[in-house]
Amino acid sequence: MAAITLANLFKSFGPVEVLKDINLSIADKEFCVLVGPSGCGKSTLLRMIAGLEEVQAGTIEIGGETVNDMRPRDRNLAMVFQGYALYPHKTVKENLSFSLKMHKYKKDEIETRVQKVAETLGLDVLLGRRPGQLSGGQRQRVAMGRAMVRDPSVFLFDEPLSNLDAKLRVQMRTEIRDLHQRIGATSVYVTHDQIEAMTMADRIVIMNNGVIEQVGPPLELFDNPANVFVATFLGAPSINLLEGKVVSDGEKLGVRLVDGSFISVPDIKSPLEDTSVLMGVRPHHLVVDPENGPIQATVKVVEPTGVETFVFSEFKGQEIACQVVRQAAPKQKDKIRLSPTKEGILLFDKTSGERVI
Amino acid sequence: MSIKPSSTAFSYRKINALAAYTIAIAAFAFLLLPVYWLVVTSFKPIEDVFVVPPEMWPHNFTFKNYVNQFDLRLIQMFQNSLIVSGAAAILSTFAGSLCAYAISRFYFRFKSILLLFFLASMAFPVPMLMITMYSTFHQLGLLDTYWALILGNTAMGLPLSVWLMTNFIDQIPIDMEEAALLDGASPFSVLMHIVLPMVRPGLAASGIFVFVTSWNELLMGLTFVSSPEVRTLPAGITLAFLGEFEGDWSEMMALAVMVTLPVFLLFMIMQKSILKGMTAGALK
Amino acid sequence: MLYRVKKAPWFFAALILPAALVVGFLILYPVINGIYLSFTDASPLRQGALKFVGFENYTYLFEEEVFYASVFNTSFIVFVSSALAVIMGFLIALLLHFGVKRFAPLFRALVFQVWVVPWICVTILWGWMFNKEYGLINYLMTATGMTETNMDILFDQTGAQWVMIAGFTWRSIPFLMVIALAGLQSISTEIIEASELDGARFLSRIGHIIIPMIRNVLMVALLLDSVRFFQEMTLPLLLTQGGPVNATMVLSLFTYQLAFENWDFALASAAGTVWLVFIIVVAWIVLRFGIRKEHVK
Repeated sequence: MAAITLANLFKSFGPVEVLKDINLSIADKEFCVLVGPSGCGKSTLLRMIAGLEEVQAGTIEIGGETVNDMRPRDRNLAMVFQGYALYPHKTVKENLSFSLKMHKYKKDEIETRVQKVAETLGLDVLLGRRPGQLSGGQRQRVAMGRAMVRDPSVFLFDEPLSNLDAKLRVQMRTEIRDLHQRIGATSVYVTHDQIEAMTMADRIVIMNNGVIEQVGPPLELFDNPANVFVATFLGAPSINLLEGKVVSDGEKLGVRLVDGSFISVPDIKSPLEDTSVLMGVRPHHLVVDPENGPIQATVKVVEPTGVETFVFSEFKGQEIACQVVRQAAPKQKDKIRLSPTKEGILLFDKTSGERVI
Repeated sequence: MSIKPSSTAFSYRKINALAAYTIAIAAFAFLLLPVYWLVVTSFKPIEDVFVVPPEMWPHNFTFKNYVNQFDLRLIQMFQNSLIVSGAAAILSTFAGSLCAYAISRFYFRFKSILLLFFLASMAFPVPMLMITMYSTFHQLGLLDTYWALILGNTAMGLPLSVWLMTNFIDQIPIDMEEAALLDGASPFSVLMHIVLPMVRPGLAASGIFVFVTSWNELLMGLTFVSSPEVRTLPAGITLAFLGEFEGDWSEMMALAVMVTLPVFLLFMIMQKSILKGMTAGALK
Repeated sequence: MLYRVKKAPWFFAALILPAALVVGFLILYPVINGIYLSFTDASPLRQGALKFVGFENYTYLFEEEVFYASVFNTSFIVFVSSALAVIMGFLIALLLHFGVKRFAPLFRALVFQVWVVPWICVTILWGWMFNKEYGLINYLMTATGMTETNMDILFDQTGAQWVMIAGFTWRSIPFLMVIALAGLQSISTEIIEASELDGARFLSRIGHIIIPMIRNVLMVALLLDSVRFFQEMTLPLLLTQGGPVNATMVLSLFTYQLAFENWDFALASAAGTVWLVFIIVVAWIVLRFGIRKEHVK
């Protein structure tokens, strides 16, 4: 059993508070991704779970045991570092066997385990080489192998893919995911890349400025963001945010945008009337509606990506993005009229950023 | 929700830190104790020196030892040491930098051998080198003059200067020099106006190293020079210690402190560049 | 590379000329001349042409007990001092890097003052500290119960040697500490953390990870220090004059005395040549077996 429970965690570096009252439960065997912009505290949180940073307040439980005062090596977890942290003077084989040696495993046990992990990761040919002679991807795999060889109950990843080129990154993403299916150990993965988060996580934990903004499965967070931050963080191109006010057009409530156009929004409750809101519409929910489209914009840039084409237009001084099929792509300087689909409208309170619809 | 501060948070780390601080302070006390003893003894009147147990602090603090030793002879020796060390530092750094620039910026086949030779030359037995130097200086009539010591110390310091400066110059990207040459500057002015100003820390480090080594240099000072007018401090103190010394230890300590003071001050001022120079070279 | 010698020979020549002159006349020539002189009967006391005497000087040396004593003593004192200095310097660097991080620059600066004290001053100080009746060392030893009565350390054969070792070690520790510290700082914290997670306890981390990684740097520093110690003779010259009974007669003092007290340049040159060969052999051994050459990232 290797569930992780974080309760009321606080952490400051000097006068700067980096983690504020963090509460999180990670289930056994879950692949949990901590994602957020630089400085949000995700790496610090990971390191606190590992035992590399001191817990100033709150508790960390792994497998039901409070581990606050436990040394890192006693916590039965393994970590893959951003820079891989391979021992440069040791061969790949020695790198892999080091932790087993430290835990006093028997020689043949070490031999079998190292062989197995090497084969799984395709490293068996490289066992005699030193890290300096390996490519970036190979080094990354050795780092993972080193973590795997001990069969820990928890895997920690600290932005392991950020030093790889784009193509390798995509490849390694699937490999890590695949390994997780096979091994099934609880994993906590830190990244700043929202695509990695979306594609790899069972659950995503979005963090910002030391607090957890939202927790949930990727698509849940994508479709139902709790606030503006989460909405803008996930998805590329990012969600369009249009300023407006909730008014009534006589019969129902809707949002009046800055250019006066009115967009009716189902399910608005009357207490919301007169509030200033930000209307969030994702690019793929913004369709071209030449006759009735309330949003009138001028095309600035057209970006074909091979399958979909993204169109960036200007609306009242703001840039908005929408997605079209490549055949229907407009040209630069065209005037287009856009309309949000009913399911795609998200309303956020302008001041608090919280989601209201 | 109430916040529970972790009471025994990382207690093992705290204990380790305490132990580390204790041992560190002990180690430094051990290392600095002789220096402390040197300074403290120099301020004790001569009678207080011969007591058991020895005083850890001068109860009768006095400057008498310093006053007694500070005579014309000492000033003369100070002057001599200053001239010799200063000249050696300047010459060594000058010749060393030029040579270093050549090594760094020219391609030639035996470059690594040359660098190795410079390093190895610091291992050559000094007395052996001094034999030939003695004969040469004798023939040139340079014995018993400043020049014998200046040249000798320059020779001793040059390999280090070359090494230091080569390291420093290697670290400067070539682009600026290439650009300057393209603009029509002469190679010489490129060296003088572009490169040398950029390696000022290196020049300082080299100068100080040679200065300090020359200031402390004893053998050549004893051998190449016999008249008191040209004698340097180390030689002077040695002769005083071996000759007229009759057990006035506190005065000897005062003398030692006065001899150390100039280089100590110099070093304090230029610390940073020195350390940078040393570690840059060593890590290669 | 900016220039080729062929393209700008005058510039190249001008650059290396000053250094070449100094090194040529005052280092290279003396070494070669010295080796040559060792096969003659050179002496400033004797006028006239030099007589070639073959290996006579060398055979004389190798029959002299004092010569063997000096080689042995030098080796003993130098190697023990260097080893002690490296070990202690490394330990202090460890302390500074892992334990007392915040004050490391301060400590480093303080300790480095030691290097600045001129050798003669250290020598005089050492003479006073090891004084029989009133010296600090004797007081500390009797007060802590290590010895019962005051010892005349400088008159004891082994004692005198250890006084030399103490002096050399004391002076070298700061230098080696700085080198070791720089080496430690070049090891990324990630690697140390990884080893912690891998289960390595403090000693294992040092033995398995840290030492192998800075070993080469320390070896080179050790070699440089040893070479430097071979040249040192201030301490033995002033405190013991090589005694008692040649216990502290080191090669440098021996050679110097032959040259400038006996004025036997030929014999001194022979001693110097042996010294040179000895150093080369030692350096070769250390570099060949002590330094690991492999692809270290």
